[in-house]
Amino acid sequence: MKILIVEDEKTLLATIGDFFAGQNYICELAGNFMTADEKLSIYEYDIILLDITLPDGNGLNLMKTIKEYNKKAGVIIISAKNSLNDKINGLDLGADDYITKPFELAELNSRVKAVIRRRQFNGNSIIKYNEIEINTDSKEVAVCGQNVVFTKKEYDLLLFFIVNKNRVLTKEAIAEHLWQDNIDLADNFDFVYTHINMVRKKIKQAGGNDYIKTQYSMGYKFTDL
Amino acid sequence: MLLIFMFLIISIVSYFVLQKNIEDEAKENLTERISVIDKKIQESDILPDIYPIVQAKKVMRTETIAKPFATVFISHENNEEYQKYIEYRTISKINGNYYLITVRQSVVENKELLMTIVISLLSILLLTFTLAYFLSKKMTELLWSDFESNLIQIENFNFHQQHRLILKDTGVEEFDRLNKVVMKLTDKLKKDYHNLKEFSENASHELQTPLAVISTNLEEVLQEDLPKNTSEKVYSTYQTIKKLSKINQGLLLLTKIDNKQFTKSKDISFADMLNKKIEELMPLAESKQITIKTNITNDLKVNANRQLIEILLSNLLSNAIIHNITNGYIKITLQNENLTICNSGKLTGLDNKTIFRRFTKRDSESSGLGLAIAKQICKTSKLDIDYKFIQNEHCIIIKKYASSRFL
Repeated sequence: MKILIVEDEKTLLATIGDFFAGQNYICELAGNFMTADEKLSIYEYDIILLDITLPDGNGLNLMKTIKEYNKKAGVIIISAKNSLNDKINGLDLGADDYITKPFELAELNSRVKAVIRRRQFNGNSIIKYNEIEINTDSKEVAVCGQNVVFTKKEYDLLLFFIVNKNRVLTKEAIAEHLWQDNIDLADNFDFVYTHINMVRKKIKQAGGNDYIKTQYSMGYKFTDL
Repeated sequence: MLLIFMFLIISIVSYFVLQKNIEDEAKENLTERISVIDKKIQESDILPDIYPIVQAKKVMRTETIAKPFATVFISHENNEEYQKYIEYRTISKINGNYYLITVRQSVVENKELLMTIVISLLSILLLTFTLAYFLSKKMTELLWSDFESNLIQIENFNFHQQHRLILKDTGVEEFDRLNKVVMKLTDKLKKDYHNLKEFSENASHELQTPLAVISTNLEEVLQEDLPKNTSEKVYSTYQTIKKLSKINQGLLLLTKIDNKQFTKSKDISFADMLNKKIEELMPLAESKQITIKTNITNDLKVNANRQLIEILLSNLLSNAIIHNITNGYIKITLQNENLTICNSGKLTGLDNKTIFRRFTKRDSESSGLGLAIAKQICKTSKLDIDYKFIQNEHCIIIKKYASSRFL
């Protein structure tokens, strides 16, 4: 997988780059509009992360170059403005998703994976993790070959864990992923425990292992290590 | 009062002046007439006797007449009414004889004189007042019409409007000066207001990227195998950054609502949106064993922004869940265009004067912006929002604006 990250804030660019390099992507970085435009017209990418507020131009204008030279690439717009207009404009111009700063790397990762699934497998994809199989098309989960019924939130939670396997996911990141930011959740994460316990229980009942490990009091890690 | 007093004075003065003038004139006339009569007697030796105007009488000796002039009242034979006369008596020596000649002239009676004066004065006054009234009315209209329209403009002016406040030239120097000052002031205030709004929006936007840098870096640090106390410190920093981001996003949303950056669409149905949000938040309620009872009998439709109404309902419903007790309940009623969300919770009511203010916190962990955002959304959607504590239930009531006036 080849990914191009366009972001003018150097620290953020490096952090995102390191993160995706760690996920075994081939990462290229562009710190401004010109570099991004140049790279886009020469190389082919699978995923493009596009910050729209660049010092030397509006990132949305790169969509034209992308349409011309990188038709296959999935585009995720990164914006400091949580503006519906920007979102609609971006999606109209052919972007696949839109994420607002500040964001969780785990969240960005799960969005990138979702775009890749939609682009490469036409939405028909099976994600496997040992004895767990998730069909992201029909949103069905099978454990040890046996279908297990999950609620929508439980399904989202399991997929989020598997996509971000071997990573510590904080309670905050999980809550945000499940409920977006339209809820002022305060420090109330009862429902996160409830959902996680339900997921654990259902997998165990179907004969699967408990991969969800508690990390001190901060969060969870989905791992078989 | 003053007018009546003046009217009285003028009447009295003119009465006396006129009377005096008439009498003087009469007296002059009479003395002149005497000389004519003297001449006549001298020529013809006939004593004229035209009662009551002229009378002549031969007298024997020189008498002195104490008062040559007198005012007398004489009635005509066939008339009951007395007529007022000025009488002049004199003794003339003609052809060696002495004659007492009396001449009289009728003058206007006091009563009649007074009536004439009063009537003429009154009619003059009436005419003047009517004229003055219509004139001043016309003048006022001319003078104040521009001022009045300017006043209406100022009354209806608010800072959300796009256009400047432009006042008409009235043609009156003082008003024009006032207009200039008012226009200058409003322009300045408007500019400051917009700068402030722009500043808060830009400031919030500019914070988003640094916040993203800090939170992604902290997220990466948390992946490391750190000693427990270091990891706890990193985690609490991460939590603080999360909170800061939440506050920033809340403020940004408030600024955007303030700046009217949300377009409205017609007839947004509260009933549909409520059902959707209840379904979405059900898992959250279930995790606290909270039962949700709904009673939606009719709909509340508003012209508003769909996204904002969604945020409003999310905020209110999630508040009702988060500030609830385990095994508690939420009652949602939508009746007669009134939406009421009541929930069980702590047994003390909250202050409904401060609850909708920014950074009024029910507990130290919330951002304190949820209800401020709800209030702002209601305001921009022309809805009233209120909080009541009734029978140990915390209730939020939303209804349409009673009056159309919106400031």
